[in-house]
Amino acid sequence: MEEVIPSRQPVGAMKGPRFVPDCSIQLMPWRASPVRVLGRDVPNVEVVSDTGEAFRELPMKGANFPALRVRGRSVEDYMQVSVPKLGRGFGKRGGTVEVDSGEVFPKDCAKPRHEGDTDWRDPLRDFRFFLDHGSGCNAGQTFIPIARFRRAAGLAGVESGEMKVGIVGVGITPFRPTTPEFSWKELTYDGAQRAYADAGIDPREDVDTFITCAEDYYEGFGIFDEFTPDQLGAVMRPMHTVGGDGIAGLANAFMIIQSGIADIAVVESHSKASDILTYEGIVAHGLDPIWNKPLGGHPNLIAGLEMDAYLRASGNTAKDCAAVVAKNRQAALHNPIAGHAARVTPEQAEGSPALWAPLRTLDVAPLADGCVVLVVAGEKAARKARTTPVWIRGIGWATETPSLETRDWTTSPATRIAASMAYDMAKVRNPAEAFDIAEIDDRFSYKELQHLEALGLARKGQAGKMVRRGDLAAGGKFPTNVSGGSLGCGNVLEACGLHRLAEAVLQLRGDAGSHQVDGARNAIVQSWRGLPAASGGVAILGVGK
Amino acid sequence: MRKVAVVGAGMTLFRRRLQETGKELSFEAARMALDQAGVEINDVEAVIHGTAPDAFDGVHMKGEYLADGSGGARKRYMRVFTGGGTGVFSAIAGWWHVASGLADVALVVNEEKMSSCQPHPQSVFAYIWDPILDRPLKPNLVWIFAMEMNRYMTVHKIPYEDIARVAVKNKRNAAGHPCAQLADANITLDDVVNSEMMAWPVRRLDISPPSDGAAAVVLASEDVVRKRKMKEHAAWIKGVGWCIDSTMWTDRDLYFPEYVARAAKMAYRQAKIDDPRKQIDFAEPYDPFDYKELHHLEGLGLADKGKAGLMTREGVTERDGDLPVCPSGGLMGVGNPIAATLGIKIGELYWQLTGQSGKRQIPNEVRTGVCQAWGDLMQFGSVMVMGT
Amino acid sequence: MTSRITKWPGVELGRKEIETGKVTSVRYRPDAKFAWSAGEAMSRFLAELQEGRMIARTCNGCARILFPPRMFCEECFRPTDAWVYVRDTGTIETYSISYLDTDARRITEPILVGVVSVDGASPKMGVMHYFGEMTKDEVRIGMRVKAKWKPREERVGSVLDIEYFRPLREGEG
Repeated sequence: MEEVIPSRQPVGAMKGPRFVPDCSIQLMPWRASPVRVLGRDVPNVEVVSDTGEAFRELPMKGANFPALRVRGRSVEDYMQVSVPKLGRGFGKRGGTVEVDSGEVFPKDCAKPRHEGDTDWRDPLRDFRFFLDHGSGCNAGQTFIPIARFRRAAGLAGVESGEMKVGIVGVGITPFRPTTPEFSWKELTYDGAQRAYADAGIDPREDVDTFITCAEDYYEGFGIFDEFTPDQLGAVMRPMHTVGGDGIAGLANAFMIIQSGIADIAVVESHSKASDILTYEGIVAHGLDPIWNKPLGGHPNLIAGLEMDAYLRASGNTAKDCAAVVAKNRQAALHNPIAGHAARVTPEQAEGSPALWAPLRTLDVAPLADGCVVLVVAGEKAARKARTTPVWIRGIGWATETPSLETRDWTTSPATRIAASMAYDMAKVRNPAEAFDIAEIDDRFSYKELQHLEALGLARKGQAGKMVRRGDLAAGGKFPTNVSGGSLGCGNVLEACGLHRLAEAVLQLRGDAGSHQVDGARNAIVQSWRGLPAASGGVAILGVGK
Repeated sequence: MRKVAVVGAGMTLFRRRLQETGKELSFEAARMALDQAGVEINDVEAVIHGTAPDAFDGVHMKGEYLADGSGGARKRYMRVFTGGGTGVFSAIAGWWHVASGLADVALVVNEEKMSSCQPHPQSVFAYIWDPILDRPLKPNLVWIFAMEMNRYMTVHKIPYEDIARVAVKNKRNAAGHPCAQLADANITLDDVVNSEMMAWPVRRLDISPPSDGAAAVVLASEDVVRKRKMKEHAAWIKGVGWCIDSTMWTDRDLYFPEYVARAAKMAYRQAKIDDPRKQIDFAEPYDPFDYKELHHLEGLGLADKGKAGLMTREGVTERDGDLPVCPSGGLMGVGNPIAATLGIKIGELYWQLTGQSGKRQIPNEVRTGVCQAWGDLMQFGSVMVMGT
Repeated sequence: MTSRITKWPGVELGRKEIETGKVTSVRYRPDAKFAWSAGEAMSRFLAELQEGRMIARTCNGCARILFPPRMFCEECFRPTDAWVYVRDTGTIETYSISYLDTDARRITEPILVGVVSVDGASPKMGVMHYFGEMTKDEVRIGMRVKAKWKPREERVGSVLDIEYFRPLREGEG
């Protein structure tokens, strides 16, 4: 077989047995590009992935699709997508492959590739998806492959991973700007007590594994892991620390339970930000020592830069961001655990000092102390819990890159990658219509808009309009951050993700009291790790069967 | 429960100072592991990173900083941290990524760059103590090991020579390890017994050195191993366990690591091992100090309490003995870049079980091994049982 | 290792190469300062130390007297019940004779340090501290000791309000 082997090898060109996992396709709402079918441009193409999700936006350059509908009619054979000078395509059994130019792709997908190959009938195998960052379709464009993900349990028929996992207990201490009467241990004990009472469990008897989400430099210790077990009831139990946010911690609990070695897990995170005397210094300490630290400057400059880039790219405005500030600070007035509730108006937000223009002081969520603890259980234990289990229908997490110089400053790829994982697992076809409420990171006001768009909950450039129309308020079409978010409750560092999970759980259980959104059955929760990280997670929660 | 195997491993040299940055070290180890496993980074569905105190590398949220070097960019990337226990624990976290069904192939990368810390990495250890109860006394890290070693020796009346023999064995074993920092094929018991007294009863040659280094392993599900015909270079994870004891170390009797025993029990139960001394062929316990090897052998149930020293004396734990212990040379011989000890614990089990250990290969057939790491304030134990 | 691997990554450096600038390096000192709230238990503990007393908490669930004190019992996972004073005498559980100071520099006069289990608390409830008025040949596990307090005016509410633990004398405690 004649092969042209480019520097990035297309899967089909590899010799020998190849790793062929189950995979599903994740398609991101990127810029559209023309799709050519059999040599002709085809507009208005609706792309449908294997799980049946339909994406209205035209697909990305260089992508392969398992099925295409052309003007509403499905095309039996797989289409090839050709990109000038970067031809690529693949064929289905019986179909032909045509490539305009560039690499030749194997034409013989209709027979086993090698001895012992049992997957050759699977149309999705060898699927490779390349992501294009550029604005034009140029020869030699760098393609960055992204990971392929397992299909949701059930689709893949895997023997483990089919069991549901639910959140059965929530404990939140009131968030406050300082908590001088509590040591961090005592604060955590308070959060843990509440969660265990809520779940009706005894941590010494019932819990199989404990997880905390923490970073040494937020706490001021060399090995913070040492100081974690006693106040959670984890002495002489399996316990570990995750250097990640609350959703990453929950993901570990999810995986540990699904691996079969635990039935009940506890996830904790807290902030004792008031113990940190030099918070900016700590955040700045997260910067690259060679490239960024020597520049000095307040770390919020990075958020200012990103806000500027994002607003230009999306078309949202600073006024939209000010509306987010007002919405969340005011919403917090109805949340008894909020630490920074205030009747802030958009004008006040817009008028606050622009220390890192366009970022203004009121665009930054103020710090708070607080602790959040969740109790998580496998299906059998969850169904016996005293509370209504809130099921984790999907969960994803991702890191884009630590590098400020090479990262995407506008679209939050980490959020998009994490979301696609979660949507895939939860079989969400149309994110904009799948959820009743959203709790997403708003540690900087523009982040709420950026994350809404990255999650596909708002079309590009529309999030700002949604907030100003009132769509995102408690009574609106898509209540977002009715908890008050971090802007209203307080930035509790690594616990922010757990906080939003807890808020969503309370909403879905109908336990949110004064800020309850009626009839909420499905929620999406998203987190970001804060400056200077480009990492985050997405969790999809739901009540019902 | 899905079966998970280690299908490739890699590591860098362990040295007191390496020129490479933390990202570069992570990349080198990850690249080697991927090449050895015969998989590409695009096949990897989750990356787990293990690294110990941020203060060594001098970057807050060190896990984020190392994500690109570890192959975690644009991927599921998770950092776990259990102090010194991370050397084995990150592989346990990798295990549950695959065992749960969320990933078919996972890459575990551990890195440590202690040399960045000036004037000496020791200074960081000032910040591991409780700020109210311990730090005002300006404790040195060696003190706590000395106190534990003293308690262990006194309760069981173990002569110092029995402990020093472990240093001799491991530094000699390390002569077969290409990455070793402190290998010494000719070291004698007298060398150790006469080495400089640091904090009684600990002498200089009882201590493993601070090191820079990185290590990585590739984990794959049984489906992948089967489809890609990786069986010959796969070693299966049979059991995992971990446990943490109370922060209040002054309220505990340090002569026996109960937390290691519980972690081992958890791992042995999963691996269906009820008589470890008979069913385990070799062991890689954590040996940051020589007495720790003995302490942990007892915790792992491979020796009766107080009797582990006899095993060294009688040659049972030599490579050609009945129960080889630390055939890699351990931390004492190869080096101690905290989390990167993954390479001489998990990595060594992998290489021994798949017959790839070269000069260090245990002459008797080995089918089941156990490795263990320890961390925090004499507090945390992580255990993994692997087998063919 | 497998014979396939012949090159092991890593370029070794010596201290001189960094000090003399033969390799490029970047220096940075983080701005990292913290002030931890002591919380209820430790605040009382420190206040009592200033008064020359050692205080503990009781847990009726497991019938233990917990020292150093804590507001919750980590075994029973319930709030502790009451304050109770313990004695300033105890027993050496373990010790070390250190020829290293806190920055790993060698010293000729060794520091004697160890863990003392405190009388009046549950067994093994201990605290780390220095030992004084004894030589390195006299210190032993099982020795009975008593705290030597600093004069009242020098105490500030710290574990250093005790200078060291010294051998218990005839007729004491």
